[in-house]
Amino acid sequence: MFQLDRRNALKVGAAGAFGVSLSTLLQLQAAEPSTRGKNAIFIFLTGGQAHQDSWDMKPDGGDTKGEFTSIATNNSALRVCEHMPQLAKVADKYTIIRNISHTQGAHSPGQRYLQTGNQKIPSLEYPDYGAVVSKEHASPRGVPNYVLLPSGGSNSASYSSGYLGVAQGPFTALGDPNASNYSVRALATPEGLTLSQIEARQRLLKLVDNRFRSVDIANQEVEGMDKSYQKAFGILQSSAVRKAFDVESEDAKIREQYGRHTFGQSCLLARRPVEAGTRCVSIYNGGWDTHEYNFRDLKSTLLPPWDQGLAALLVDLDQRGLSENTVVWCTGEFGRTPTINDKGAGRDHWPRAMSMLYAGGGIKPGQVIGKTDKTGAQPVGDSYSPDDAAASFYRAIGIDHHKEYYTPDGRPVMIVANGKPIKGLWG
Amino acid sequence: MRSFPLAILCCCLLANVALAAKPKPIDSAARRWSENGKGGSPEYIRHIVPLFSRLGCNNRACHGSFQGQSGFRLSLFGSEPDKDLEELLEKDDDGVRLNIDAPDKSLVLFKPTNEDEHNGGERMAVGSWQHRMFRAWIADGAKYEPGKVAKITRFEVLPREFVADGLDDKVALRAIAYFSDNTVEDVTGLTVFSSNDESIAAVSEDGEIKVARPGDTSIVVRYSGSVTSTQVLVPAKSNGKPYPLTFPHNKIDEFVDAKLRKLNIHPSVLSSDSDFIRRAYLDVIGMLPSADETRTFLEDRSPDKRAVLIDRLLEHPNYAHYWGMKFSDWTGNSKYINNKAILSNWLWQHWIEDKLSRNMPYDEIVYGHVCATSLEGRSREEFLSEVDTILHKASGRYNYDDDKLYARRRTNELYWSNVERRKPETMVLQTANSFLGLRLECAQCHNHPFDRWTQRDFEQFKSFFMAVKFCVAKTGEERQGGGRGYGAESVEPGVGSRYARLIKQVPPKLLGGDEVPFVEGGPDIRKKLWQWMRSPDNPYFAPSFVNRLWHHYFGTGIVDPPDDFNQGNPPSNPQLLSWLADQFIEHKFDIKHVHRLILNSRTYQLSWEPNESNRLDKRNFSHAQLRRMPAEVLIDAISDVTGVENYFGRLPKDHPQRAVGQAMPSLRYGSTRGGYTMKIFGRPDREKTCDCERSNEPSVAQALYLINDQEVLNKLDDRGGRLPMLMKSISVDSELIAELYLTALSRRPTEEELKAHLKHVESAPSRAAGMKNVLWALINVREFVFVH
Repeated sequence: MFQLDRRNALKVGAAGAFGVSLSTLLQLQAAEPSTRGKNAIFIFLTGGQAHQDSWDMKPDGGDTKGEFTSIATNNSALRVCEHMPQLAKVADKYTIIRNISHTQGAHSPGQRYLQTGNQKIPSLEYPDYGAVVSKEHASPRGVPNYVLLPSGGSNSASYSSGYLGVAQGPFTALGDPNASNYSVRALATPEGLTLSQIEARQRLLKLVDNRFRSVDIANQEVEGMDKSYQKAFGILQSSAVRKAFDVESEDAKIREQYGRHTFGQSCLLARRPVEAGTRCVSIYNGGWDTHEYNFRDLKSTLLPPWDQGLAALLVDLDQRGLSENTVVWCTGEFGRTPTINDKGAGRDHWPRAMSMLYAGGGIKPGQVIGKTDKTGAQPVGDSYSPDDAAASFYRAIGIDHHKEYYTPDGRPVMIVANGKPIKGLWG
Repeated sequence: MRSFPLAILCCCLLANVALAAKPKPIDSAARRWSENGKGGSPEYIRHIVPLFSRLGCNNRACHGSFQGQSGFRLSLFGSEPDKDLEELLEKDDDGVRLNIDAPDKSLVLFKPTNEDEHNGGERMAVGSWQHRMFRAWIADGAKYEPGKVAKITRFEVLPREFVADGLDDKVALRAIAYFSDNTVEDVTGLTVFSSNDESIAAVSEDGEIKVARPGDTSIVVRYSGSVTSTQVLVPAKSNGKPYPLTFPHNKIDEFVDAKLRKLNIHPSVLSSDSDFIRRAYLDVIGMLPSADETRTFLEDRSPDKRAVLIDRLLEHPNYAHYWGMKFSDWTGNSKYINNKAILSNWLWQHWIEDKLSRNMPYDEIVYGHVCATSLEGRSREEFLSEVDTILHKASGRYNYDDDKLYARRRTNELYWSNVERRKPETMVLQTANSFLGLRLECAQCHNHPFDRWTQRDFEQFKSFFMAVKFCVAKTGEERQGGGRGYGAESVEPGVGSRYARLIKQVPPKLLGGDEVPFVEGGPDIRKKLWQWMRSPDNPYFAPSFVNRLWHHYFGTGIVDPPDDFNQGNPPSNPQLLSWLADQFIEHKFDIKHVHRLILNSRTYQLSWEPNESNRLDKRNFSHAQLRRMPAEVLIDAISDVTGVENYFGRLPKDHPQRAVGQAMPSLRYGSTRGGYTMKIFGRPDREKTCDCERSNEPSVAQALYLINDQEVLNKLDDRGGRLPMLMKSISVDSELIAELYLTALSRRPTEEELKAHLKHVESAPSRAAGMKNVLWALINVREFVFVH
């Protein structure tokens, strides 16, 4: 990834005035080191998925059991909700953890916890996984390291690259990839500029964009804008990226497999940039906050597209030989209460117990780790924290979760200070 | 280590309560229950519950969680001591929690010492004063007599301000509580300390401050439901240069200077005229000055030209559009108003614009929200006929010229009539946020952790918002199934059947003030609420508004975030804030008066270019912060520079095709007409009661938009645009480039810049193509998108 700091950019800019060509500049960029490592697809079910109505069914839960029955999967140790038939067929491709437990029962702190592996504190904003991956694992030039796909629904989480700064922020593709005319705006411009026109403009810009560079200012917004421009030019000059986001060019049959709904096509759209070299794609899928009508909504709008899209993604990654190098992690911010309330049979927030899915990247698939009590209220025996879950994720993609960064004001912080990888994930 | 002995405390005490009986100092708990201490009877509220907080037992992460922990639940931060005691007296699976006959067999004693395995680890040591105190309370019968509890009358921390003498300087804070039984006790050992910015100063559990780098922050101090804070200032090392000679324009500068001197931060120099005119236009009316306006201003030699410009801008028609947009943000003019959102959003926006263009006093504008009614004293027939007029015109010919009918009303009923807003809990949060700068969300479910608001305070305050009745006001139009406008329901004082009982059970009570009983058919109690808000003694009303203006002009509030006034988030410059609020009150809530004070201050007019000492400063206003233009302002700026306006669709008569002042185009037109651009540049949907909903975070999508979005490229290509016109009238390239600089950046190009552009134009395929690239570059330089 092309990353020049302010002073180097100034030098390059000045050199440009004396006739250093763009191709020389590009060579400079190409000389930047590129790390090799695994990719990640993080699927965040914001609002909090009911664990006992998905991965951790409680047939003996009495009043807390709920309306759904469980079905067998191709893993004899795992039974799942009847509304997850596709995932049931491919249970040999993933591992489920059922004994994650924490205490952050409100959305915002819960989400920040599960998005970063660190509990929220007032004086410091931790970076999302994607931002850390973006920092640690470079992409080919022009390809965004970190892509965010907000795929709708309420209770959507806010994303942040935290102390790593906006330079590690995501490339956000808005809109519904299931829509017929979907395109990521400003990427493809059939009537727009040619590459050489863009390059000519970029050359001119480098010469005249100096007013804020002549002084040493500490302003995150300005710095963020600088980095965003660097990334934007890289993306515009990469045909691979334009193609990756052109989801319509995908084989119609494959599009059907993922399902013609926003979530399914978001899963498909997650695979395409990973193929092009993006290192982390995060899908934020909201609507799981089923305080009211838990069963009605899970059955009709939440589980079916999720089941189809996620199962198709796991199969597709496998068939393309990408799964070995791509970690898929799917979780919400917490589980939901065993008690079913009287608001149209809803379930409320419950961080004491939750389930999550891991696949790919060398994690041993086909396992079920941990268990909870009869009603899914508490783990029985061992339990793990979101810190442990995050540490596991980092281990799977080959990032040392104890690595220390320095915040902009010089404070040392570990990526995940408290967690330990969950050993069972590797068998 | 510096310490502050009780002697100081006694001096303050004498000075402060000279007339009352002299308070009786009591030894601290730490001393009384030390090994050789004289002991005594610990009190449940004064000693035991605060100990739970201090040890972290009643945290959200521990037993304070709603589900409790390991079967034992305490109320969050000790907000419900009665329930906590009940819980303590219950039996646990593991044994007896409180054993009065054999205190040492109490679970609550040997769990926190980790004698029996405790998931939370060791919280106190066996034999520590905490342990002795807790044991003594149990042995004494675990007494709690709610009627006899002495209330805290004052809570303070010493020192109230700590100016560190170098990075090695330390201080131990002392927390002092005064009680209604006329005792005063050092409660440091029972107090929770936390730093608002650990990178500047950290504080230990015992209240010892260690500074880390120059700057300033607050240490928040909590004891038994009381919260206060102390300011820590760490001056920068002197670089040998004396503090520069400054010439204050008004009082603001004196307050700002006083703080900067303490921190040894030097202010930047005054901004240049071209930086000033651009900043003032963008900040006051949300648009760029034209090239002609800039030229005239730069050539003007009169000494008071800045003040004259400020006055002129405050009378500009776009002032009302721009600040109408800000008010719409603050009051939540969102798509959820009712199912006739399009027209409603415009009516609301125009209602505010009407008030702002007449410079109506702020308290009157607030009256128009808080005490809104549909009838406003008219008969129902008159009201319905007005609704029909508005609806008919709107639906029939699809224009909005009769919405002035609504704009001229005294009150804005739409503030209340959103379906979501019929819920009192929504309205109480919205009103507290909009007009008091408070976030009461915490107190909705539990006592506010950083403020004195209890859940009961919240519930009683909420009752004010039950005192309204909604009637469906079906119009002729709607009966026929037509009608694309507002007018679904009317809002009047009273109470609906849903809340009729509740409002009596939980009588309305002002925050920190009196109960205002609701009488059916009696006067509108919302007026009492309004009178309390606008009273000069209200600690939030005037401060929160002047602080919001300040935040607008500086990018950082004196209280920041600007809508989060609480005792744990004190102002960075309290004197400045209270002076501004006093000015606002003295001038009868004249909004433009405050604008004028701020805009004419030297502090506002400082350069954005930092110096060595103030580079990292944001809290103390030593230099102007670079702030990215808000979404709407940026869209208009691109339109103005290219001379090609955005098309937002059909707008109300006389409304320009500008983004600033648009009611809600993104909702009306999906993503095609400005909606996408608004979104990526952070325009809020106004669905959260939080100023943070408007975002300034940069993103790749923004850069892509400016570089290569069809919307921008089309404006550059437009044959009717500014550039083609200027190319005809200005034949000399350097003059044309200079004109473009004045238009986009309100300044002339430097020689170096001019050279680069000329060279580019010469090598371009045509003059037109080259100049188009020049204009593109001026939109894409960082300087363009920032207010500086």
